Amino acid sequence: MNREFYGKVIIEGEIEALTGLHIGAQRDTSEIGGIDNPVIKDPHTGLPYIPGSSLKGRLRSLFEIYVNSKLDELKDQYKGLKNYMKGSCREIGKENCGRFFNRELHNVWIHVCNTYEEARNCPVCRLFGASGKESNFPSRVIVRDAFLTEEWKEKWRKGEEITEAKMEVGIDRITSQANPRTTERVVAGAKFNFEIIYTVEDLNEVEDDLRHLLMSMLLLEDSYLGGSGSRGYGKVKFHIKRIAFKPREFYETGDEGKIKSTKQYKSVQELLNNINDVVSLIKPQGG
Amino acid sequence: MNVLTPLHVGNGNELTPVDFYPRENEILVLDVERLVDDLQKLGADIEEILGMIRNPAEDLYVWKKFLTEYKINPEQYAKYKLKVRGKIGKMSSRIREFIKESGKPYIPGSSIKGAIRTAVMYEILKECGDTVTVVEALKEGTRIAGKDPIAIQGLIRSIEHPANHDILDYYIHYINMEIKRALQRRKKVNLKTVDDLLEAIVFGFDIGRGGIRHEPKRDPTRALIVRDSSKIPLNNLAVYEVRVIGADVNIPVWVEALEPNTRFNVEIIFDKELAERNSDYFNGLLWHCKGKELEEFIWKAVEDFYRELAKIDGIRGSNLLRIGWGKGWISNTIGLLLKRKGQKWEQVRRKLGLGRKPGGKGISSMFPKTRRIANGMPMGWVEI
Repeated sequence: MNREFYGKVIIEGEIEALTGLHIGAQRDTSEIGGIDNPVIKDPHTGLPYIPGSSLKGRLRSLFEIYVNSKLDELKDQYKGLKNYMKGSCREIGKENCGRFFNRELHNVWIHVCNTYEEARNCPVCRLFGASGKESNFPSRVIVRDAFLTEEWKEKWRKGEEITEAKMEVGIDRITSQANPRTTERVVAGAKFNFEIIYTVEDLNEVEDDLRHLLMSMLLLEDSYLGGSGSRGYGKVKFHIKRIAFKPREFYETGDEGKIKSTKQYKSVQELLNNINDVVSLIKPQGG
Repeated sequence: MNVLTPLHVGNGNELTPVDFYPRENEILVLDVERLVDDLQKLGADIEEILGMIRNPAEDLYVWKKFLTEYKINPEQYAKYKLKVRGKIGKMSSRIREFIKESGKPYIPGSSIKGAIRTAVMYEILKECGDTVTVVEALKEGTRIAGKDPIAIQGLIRSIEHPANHDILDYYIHYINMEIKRALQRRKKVNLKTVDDLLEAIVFGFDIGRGGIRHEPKRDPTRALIVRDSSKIPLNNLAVYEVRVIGADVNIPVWVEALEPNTRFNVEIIFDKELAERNSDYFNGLLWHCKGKELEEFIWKAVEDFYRELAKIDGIRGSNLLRIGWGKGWISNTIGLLLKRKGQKWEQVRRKLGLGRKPGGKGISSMFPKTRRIANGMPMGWVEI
């Protein structure tokens, strides 16, 4: 095990809910006439937010599916993958059955490498981390909780609704009887500040990792965040505001002059197209 | 999507005469809060306003007195205007509001997906509903769910009964049994849950102590992502008078509905990766029978089901779908298949009380007897 530190890449921006967003919370008291499915809210402000765990989990999940789909091709490149077959251990029910989705986590099967070395050589685990059976590999990516932007907090202060109670009806397909339910969701258009931090631990892997991170974000834009996504909820878009590299020297001196930023890229796609601009902040002259 | 006939998706609210101001052929939906604020500033008595709201005068013009007295143009307080298609009624009129987000109407993905799932259920029962296939799907599904097959042997035996040609023969028998059981407990059958077992068999299931139940995680239509539509400009909305044709009592309903020729965008994604990743996890008749060609099958089902419905309504076009409120029993259910079962279904239908005459206890001999007509048109037809 050999860990090094070269600096941190910080991606900041806004995540916009293009359709209503429902990240559920447990309802601890059942009020009469209350909403069946409330959204998670910050206990201090009472305002909805996107937990980093939801966002990171979704990014990981989408990237895992991508890697599983291309497993045979990727095995040559990443030796941590060489012992895995496509598919899930779910059918067999035993963790580590040799399939890619090898670890059960609350009834969901995810991919986790078991040792530090294996994780380091796996595109998923070295980016998102692995709590292995034998040794852990800390995540290189940190996803902060995303809170409403000032603009939207202001709207809320002025009395605008940030969440809505959406009524849905299930219809019995024999009798046509309606079965109404209400779900709370954050209104379409709401924006949250997001911050994703990538820790540079290996200069040779920076480009690869960042590419995968951005790819996962792009995959998320064409999938959904939160619940009920297959019936309309949770289409999101990232608006990138700033991407900066804080090298090791910055942390040593606190000198902001050491921080390097790229020019502005609005979308994830645009940033992915120009990934070399980011990489060259970290590895000048291909160093 | 292009709207062919008036389309209403409700949000559960109703506009009451306090919320709007009718004029000739149109109504203004008012920003009541702002109006009350300003009236007070002009010196109106809040008690009088509240009294007016609580007990509206003779006609619809709740606000007329104030607006005249303080020379206010109601236009200034209009959130939006709605053309009126049909006749607006007297003071009791309520208008069912269209679902909106930030004040703009949209079509929820859930409405579209629900309509697609009805078609899929219809088509799969039509194509794969024979006893042999259903039993195979149940056995296979039980294995996938990792459960002991004994748990569903009773169900399989009943389905395999020689009197049953297909699952619907069994299902009609099953509903009969449910009705009997309910009677013994001196209760009524809950009409909201009659299809539960069938939904589980078709779309995917888990087995618990109570038997088979639908498990959304095992449902392959999870892979079909239907987004909420784009926001639709308010000027596409009008008030429609919806009449119930064929009923003895005729009380019209007013709804905010999208007008024909309204166009909006909908994004529908079939997540192949998700379908593939869960291929050893999904179960049910749909997955058993059409798993490999699920995406194509979904669109074929939509085409087939809605073509047949369109014939009944005299709607022409291709790539049709019917969504929203006021579609009637045939469009909301697998009724087309049930009706083919003739007398067997007819008996169950009567016991369920479908087609009960309002007020009385009698049950109509024809079902469905009534249809909803908005300004002469059936509701909810769209073209993809």
